[in-house]
Amino acid sequence: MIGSRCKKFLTVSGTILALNFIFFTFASAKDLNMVMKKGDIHPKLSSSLWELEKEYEKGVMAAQAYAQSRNLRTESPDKITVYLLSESGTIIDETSLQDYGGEIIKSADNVWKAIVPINLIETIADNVKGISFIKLPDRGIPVASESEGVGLTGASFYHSEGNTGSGVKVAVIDIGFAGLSSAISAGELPNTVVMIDCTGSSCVPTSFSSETVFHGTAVAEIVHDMAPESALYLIKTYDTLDLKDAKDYAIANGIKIINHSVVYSNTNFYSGECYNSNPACTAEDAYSNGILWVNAMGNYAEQHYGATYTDSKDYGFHNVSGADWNINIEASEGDIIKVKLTWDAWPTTDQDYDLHLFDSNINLVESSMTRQTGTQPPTEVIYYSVPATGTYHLAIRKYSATSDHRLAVFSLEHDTDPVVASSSITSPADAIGVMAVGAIDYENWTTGPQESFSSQGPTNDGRIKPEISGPDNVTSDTYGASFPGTSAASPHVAGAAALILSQNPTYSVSQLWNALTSSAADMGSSGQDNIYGYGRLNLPNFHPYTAMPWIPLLLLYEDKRSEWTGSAGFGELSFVVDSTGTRITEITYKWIEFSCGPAIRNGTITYTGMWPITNNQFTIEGTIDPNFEMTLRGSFDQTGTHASGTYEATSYGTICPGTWDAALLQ
Amino acid sequence: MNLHSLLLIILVILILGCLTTTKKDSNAASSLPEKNEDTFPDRIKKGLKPPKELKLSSILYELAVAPEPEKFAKKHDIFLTTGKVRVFVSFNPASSNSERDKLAENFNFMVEKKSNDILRALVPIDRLIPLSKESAVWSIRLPDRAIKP
Repeated sequence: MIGSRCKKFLTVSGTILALNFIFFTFASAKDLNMVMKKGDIHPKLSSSLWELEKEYEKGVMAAQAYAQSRNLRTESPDKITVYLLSESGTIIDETSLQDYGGEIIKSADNVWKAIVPINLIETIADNVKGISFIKLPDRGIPVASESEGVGLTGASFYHSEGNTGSGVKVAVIDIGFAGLSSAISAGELPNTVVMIDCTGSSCVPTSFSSETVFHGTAVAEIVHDMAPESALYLIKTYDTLDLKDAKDYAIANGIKIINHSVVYSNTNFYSGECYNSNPACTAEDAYSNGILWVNAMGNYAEQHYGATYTDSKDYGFHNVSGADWNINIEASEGDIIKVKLTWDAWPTTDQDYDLHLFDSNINLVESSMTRQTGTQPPTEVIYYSVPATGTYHLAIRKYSATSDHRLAVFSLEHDTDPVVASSSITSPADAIGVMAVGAIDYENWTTGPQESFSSQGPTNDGRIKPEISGPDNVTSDTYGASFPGTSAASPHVAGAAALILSQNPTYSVSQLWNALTSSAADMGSSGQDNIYGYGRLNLPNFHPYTAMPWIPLLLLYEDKRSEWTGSAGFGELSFVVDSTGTRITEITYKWIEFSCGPAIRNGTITYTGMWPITNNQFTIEGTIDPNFEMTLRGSFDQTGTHASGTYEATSYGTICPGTWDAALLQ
Repeated sequence: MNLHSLLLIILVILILGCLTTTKKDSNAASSLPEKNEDTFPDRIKKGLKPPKELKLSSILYELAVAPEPEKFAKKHDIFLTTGKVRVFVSFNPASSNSERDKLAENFNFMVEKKSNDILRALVPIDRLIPLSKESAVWSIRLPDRAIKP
C-alpha cells in the first residue's frame, strides 16, 4: 500500500513539475512579465504597495484598477492607509512624514497607522526616520455565514461534487437591496452581481447606493449560498408594471430562473387569473419563455379570512360567524392596520361591497367605499394608523350587489380572528406556471410542521398549492439574525433549481420543474397537498444519511472511493462507495443466463446514482426495463472488507429472489 | 293568599320581566349599525363614498377632497411629488392611444409607464376628479404595490 502511495505521490509531483516547466518556458518565450524579481521590490515596502506606486506612475486610473483588483482600500485616488513599522524603541519622525504629505492616525507599540500619498510611498520609506517597513493594514477577515438550508436540501452535497450553479443566470426580483456593498465585502454575495432598477420608465443599471430596504439582499444571499457560482441579477421593482418590465429584462438577458420573494394582493381573486398585466400574467409569460418563476406563497395563514357573503339577519353586513359581523384585529398604538378585500367579480364589476373598520367601542374609524359601477375592479383597501392599543373590528357591507359573492380578506400586518388558513395564498404564487414555496422551520425540517404563518392552498379555483416547501429561520448575515418566512424559503428552491440546471443545461423549464417536485421529500398527505406541496425541497439524488462509524475511517485512510465486486444468484455485481463512505454511487449488474419468469437474461448494465448507506445497510431499487426490476439489499460486515445481501428480480411479474456476496477490491 | 301577597307576586313578575327584556345581548352583532340607514354611523350613511360618476378609488377620492392633501398622503403612505400623486389609470379597452395621449395632455399628467390598457402616471391631485369623469377612463386607483410578506 505504501509503495502504491509513493508511486502516486511521485506521479502527481512529477506532473506538477512538468506543467510548471512547460508554463514558465512558454511565459518566458512570450516575454510575459509573469514573475517579479524579488530584488526589484523596495526592501522597506510590501510588494503590493510597491506595485501600487509603480501603477500610479502610469496614472491614477491604473492605480485604481490595481487597487481594486487586489482589494486595497484607498482613501482617495491619491492616498492610501498603511501601517508604518518601526524598530522597537524607535519613534517615527512625524514632522518629516507630514512634510511628505503623510498623516498619522493612531499608533500602538511599534505600529503606526497613517495615510500617505501613493506616489511618495517609496520616498517616505527612504527618508522618514524611524520607519523600518511599510505594509498594508492587517484587516479582519470576514467570515461568510451560510444558510442551514444548504446542507439540509442537498446543495452542499452538490457543491462537494463540483456543482455550484455555474453557467446559470438567476434573477432576484425584489423591492430593495440595501446593504449590498457590505454583503459583497463580507463575502455573502459575489462582486459580480448585476444591479438593475426597473422602478423608472424602463430597467436601467444602478448601484443601489441609496436603498433602505434590506429584503432583496437577504434573499439574494440565500440564492448565493445555494448556488455560489450562478450569475446573480438583482432587479428592483415597485409595483406590478415594474414587475412586467423586470420579466421582459429577464427574458432579454437569458435569465433562466427568477426568485420573487414578494407578493401582491387585490390583483385578482387568487385563482391565477391574468388581468391587465397583473403579476399572474407576468409570471405566466416568463414560464412561456422558458423561465422558472419561483415565488413565496406569502405569510398569511393567520392573517386571512375567506367566506361566501351571508347575512342571515338582513343587517346589510356579512355574518362572519353565526350572526357576528366582525373580523377582529388586535393592534397596538402606532401600528398600521392594512386590510385588503376582494370578491369574485373580476376583472371589473358593478357588484359593490364596502369595508369598514370600527374601534373597540364600535366607533367607525376608517372606511373604504370605492364605488363599483361596472368599470372598477372588485377591491377595497383600508390603511389606518392605530391611535390606541385595542381590538379593532372589520365589517364587510354589501352596498349594492345582486348576489352573494365569495370574499377574500387579507390583513397584511395583524392576525385576524376568526382566521381561515385555507386559500391564504397570494399572487403570483396562485398562477399555474409559478413554483410556489411554503416554509418549514429548518429546525423541524424533516418532521414539520409547516410554519403556522405559511400561506396555504388551494387557489380560489381549487388548484393545489404550494408546489414545494423550503427552509426558513435560517442564518442571514444581512439581517444579522435568522431570516423567517416564505421569503427565505423561496430562494432555497431557486438556488436548487440553478444547481440542477447547471448539471443539466439542456433542461426545459418543465423538466426543471419536474426535477424539483419529483425529488421533493413527501410530507403531509401523500403526493401534493395544500400545506407542503410535493414536500420539502430535496435535490435529486441527494439522500440524507446516517454515517457509518467505520466505513468512512477505512475510506479516509485509503483516501479514495472503494470498489466492491462479487457474485450473485443472477451472475455478478460490482458497486462503488464514494469517498465519504456514506453512499453508493454506482452499481453494475451482470446477468449470466439468468432465468426468471419467461425470460433468460444476459448482459451488463451500469447505473449511477446516490444510494445512502444507513447503519451499514443499503437498498438499491431500479427498473431495468418495463418488464424487469431489480431490488438489491445489502449490509457491510464489521471488517469493512466484505458485504452481502439479498436481491429480488421481478421479470414479467415473476419474483425471483436470491443472494449476493461482494468484497472490497484492494 | 291575601290581596297583598298577590300584588307582591305580580310586582316581582313585572320587575323580572323588565330585567329580562333590558338584558344586553352578548352577541356583538347587537352593536352593529342596523339595516335602517338612519341608524348607520354618519360616515357609512353619507360618508365619503365617491359620487356615482367618479371612477376613483375610495382613498383617492378622500385625497382629492382632503383639506390638507399632503398630510393625508403622508398618513396613508401615498406617493406624492410636487402636488402630483402616483396612480394606475385603467382605460376603456375601446379607447384609442391618441385619446389617451390627449387626456395626458389635457389633464397635465405625466405617464411613467404603460402596459395594455393600464398606465402608471403622476396626476395633479386637483385633476383626479375631473379625469375620473372621462368616458375613456375606467378606474383610477393607487398602484398595485409589491408587498414584502
